[in-house]
Parts: sequence; C-alpha cells; structure tokens
Amino acid sequence: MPVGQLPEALLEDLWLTIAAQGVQRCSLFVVPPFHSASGEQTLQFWWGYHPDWLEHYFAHRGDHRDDIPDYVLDFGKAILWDDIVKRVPKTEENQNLKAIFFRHHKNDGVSVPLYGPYGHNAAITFSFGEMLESAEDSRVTKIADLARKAFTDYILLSHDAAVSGILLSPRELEIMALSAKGDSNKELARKLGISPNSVDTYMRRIFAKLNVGDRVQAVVRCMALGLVRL
Amino acid sequence: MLTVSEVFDQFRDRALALGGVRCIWFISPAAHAVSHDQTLVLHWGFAPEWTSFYASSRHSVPEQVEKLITEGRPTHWKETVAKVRANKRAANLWPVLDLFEKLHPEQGFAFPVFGPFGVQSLVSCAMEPSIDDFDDPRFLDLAANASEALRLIALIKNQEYRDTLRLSPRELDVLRELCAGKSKKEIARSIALAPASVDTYARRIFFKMGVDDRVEAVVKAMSMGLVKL
Repeated sequence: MPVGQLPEALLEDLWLTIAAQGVQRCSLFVVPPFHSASGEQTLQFWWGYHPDWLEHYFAHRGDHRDDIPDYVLDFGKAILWDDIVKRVPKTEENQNLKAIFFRHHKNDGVSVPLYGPYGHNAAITFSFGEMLESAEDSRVTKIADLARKAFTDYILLSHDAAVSGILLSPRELEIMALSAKGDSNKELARKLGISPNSVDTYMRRIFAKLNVGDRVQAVVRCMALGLVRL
Repeated sequence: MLTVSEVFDQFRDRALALGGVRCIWFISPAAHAVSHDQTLVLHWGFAPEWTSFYASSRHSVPEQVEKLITEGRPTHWKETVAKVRANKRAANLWPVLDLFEKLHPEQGFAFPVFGPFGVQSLVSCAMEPSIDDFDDPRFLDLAANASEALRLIALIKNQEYRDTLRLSPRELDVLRELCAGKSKKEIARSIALAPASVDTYARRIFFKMGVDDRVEAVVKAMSMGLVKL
C-alpha cells in the first residue's frame, strides 16, 4: 500500500490514469458502510463534468435524492446509463435531474459498483464520449479493474486514518463487542465484574469518543469502523 | 433464482476451464469475523484427508483468513506460509501447513472479494500452470467470475433472509428508524404512529428477528443488509 500519501491523491491518480485511457468524465460516490449513497455522508468526486451541471447538482443537493448510485450498488455489476435511466423510479426529481444532465452530457455513461474492504462501497460512473453496445465492453472492464484497485487502496488508507483517530481502550472495545452481541448494561456489569454505575461511566466516555448520542449509534459506528467484529 | 451451490458450481466450472486445481472460499456477512460457525465455506479439489481434518479441527485458520481479507489484496500462498512459519506465536498452525503442503504441492494464491451488503470473502486457489503475477489474464478472469458469483450469493442470502423474516413494509420502516438511532417519540412523529404502536411494531420486529432488544435488532439488520442508513 502506498505510504505517506493523502488517500484522496490516490483517487486523483485514478482519474489521471483513466483519462489517459480515453475516459472523458467520471464521478465516484464513496459510501460508508451500512449507508445509503444518497445520504450526507457519501463523498463525491467529479472529474470532467460541465460546471453548470455540477453547480446545479450541488445547489440542489438538499432537495433532490439521487437514486442512481444506490441502484447501481444494489444491481451489483456494470450497467449502461441508458438502462439505468429506464429503470430508476420516474419521480419528478429524477426526471428534472435527468433533463438538466442531458443539456450538458450525452447518455453514454456506464456505472460500476465497487465493493471494498470493511463494507465501504462506491459507485463509479464514466464515459468514453461514445455510446457503448454493452456494459460488458472490455474497455469498461479494464477501467473498472483499475478503479477497484485504486478504491481498495483508498479505503485501506483512509480506514487506517479514521481508526487511528479513535482511541478506544481495550476495556472500552470489550464493552462495545459485548454490547453488539446484545448484552445489556446489567449483563455487562456482571460479566466484567464492575458496578452498573461504572458501566454507565464507560458508556458515556465511549459515546464521547465516538461522537454519538446512544448505544445503538455507538455499536453501528464501531461495526462500520471494523472495531467490532460479530 | 439460482441456489448458492449452483452459483458456486458455475464458478468452479470457469475456474477448471482456466486451469484451476482446487479452491476454497470463505464468505462472511458484513461486520462478521471469519469463524467456524458464521462463515460459509465452499470448496472443491482438496484431498479427502485434508477436508476431514479441516472439518474436525478447531485450529486458527480463520484468523489468517480474516487477516488476508482485511489486507485487501491478492497474495501468494508461499508468502503467507513463510510469514506463518516465521511467527513463533503461530506455531500451532505449523502442523496444519505441513499436512496441507504434503497433500497439495501446487503453489496457490488467495484474494479477497467483496460484495453487496458488505459481504466479505476470501478465495484461495491453486492453478496449473501457476499464476506468477496478478496481472495475468487468467487471474483477472477468475477474479471477475468470483466477483460475479459473490454478487449472486449475496443477493440470494439477502433474499433468503428477507423471506424468512417476512417483515411488512411498515415494519421495515420502523426498523430503519430504529437503526438510525431515533427514539420512540421521534419514530412516532416521523412515520405518523402513536408511540404505543411503535412499541408494538418494535416488539413484533424483535420477535420475528429472534432478538431481545433494539441493539441486537440493529446489529442484525445492518449486517444482513436489511436496511440502509
């Protein structure tokens, strides 16, 4: 794994590599574990798109829900835009987005889901500037392979950074692991041989470190960070 | 829809056509450790002596498998084997390696494959002639087939789980809100239910999922890919 680089630099490198192979535009939606791609925690990278489209997309990000990345992730393999557009629900929002998109770009993209370590996923969309016959086109496969590699490196690097920022003690990790298996505070107290009050104190400290409000969110966060394995 | 074993058979046929000699595949649900009882293990081409030994022993192969999954990239067996042999704390694995290498002299490789719903897996294969670098078209072909097979397996498993639970759309709504960490009051407000009905829904969901409380329900729903946040 490349060391001493910012994770995002890996994705910039990916763009340069695939642009050299004829890709004219590319978007990458990086989705944290267990999340919907249309949520606020999705990271978006765009290269080669018309500025007016991007401006519109970001200006209205709050009022529209882009169903496409989730569709791609659930579909599970490469799919042509032509097919996606036919299949996503024809809501007014989707129709509007589509109309504005087609003012600037053709319907010649292809989307590929990328599944990475620790449950991190991404949907990548790109275009060679020409309509493709099939999503199984060998050029698509080649770009998808490059993207999968770069995305895996990116996740491993950013995962290490995210995890190293959260310093749960071994005892706190033990408490979260038991909580994830469904132990109540009472059971935790009994198993760890401490008072229920001490369990409470531990819990509050864990919530603060993870920046969450309750036990459910704490467990979900630990699972998403790979700190707790079931 | 195909069954898991039909999907694996298709993968095996492709692997055989590419020169595959044997293969073992460890598949775990999202956020699950690789372990003897939670991991789906599919394999072909191993000596019966090895298979029965593997099934009967409780050695720590799963830990090694998990390490190779989280490292995220393909590796050659000989590198992993050299590491294990150099590690005194892994000495309990040395006899396992001895037996394995005696029965299966061909050099192999392992690579992680990830799928929808956070499904994570490790495919470990030997091929003839052996694969020396991971840009080899045969490796790329095998990896692409493994991805497609895992995609199907993840979808089948997800659907099976949904079919067993039979949660109503309304119950799924409540479950989604529970996973988002909302309180009973907040859930009542956001999906227009009386707080007491939220309780009833929650109890029914817990019963169907076979869990005792909210944390367990959330953990199960997330790791089985029932809801997205």
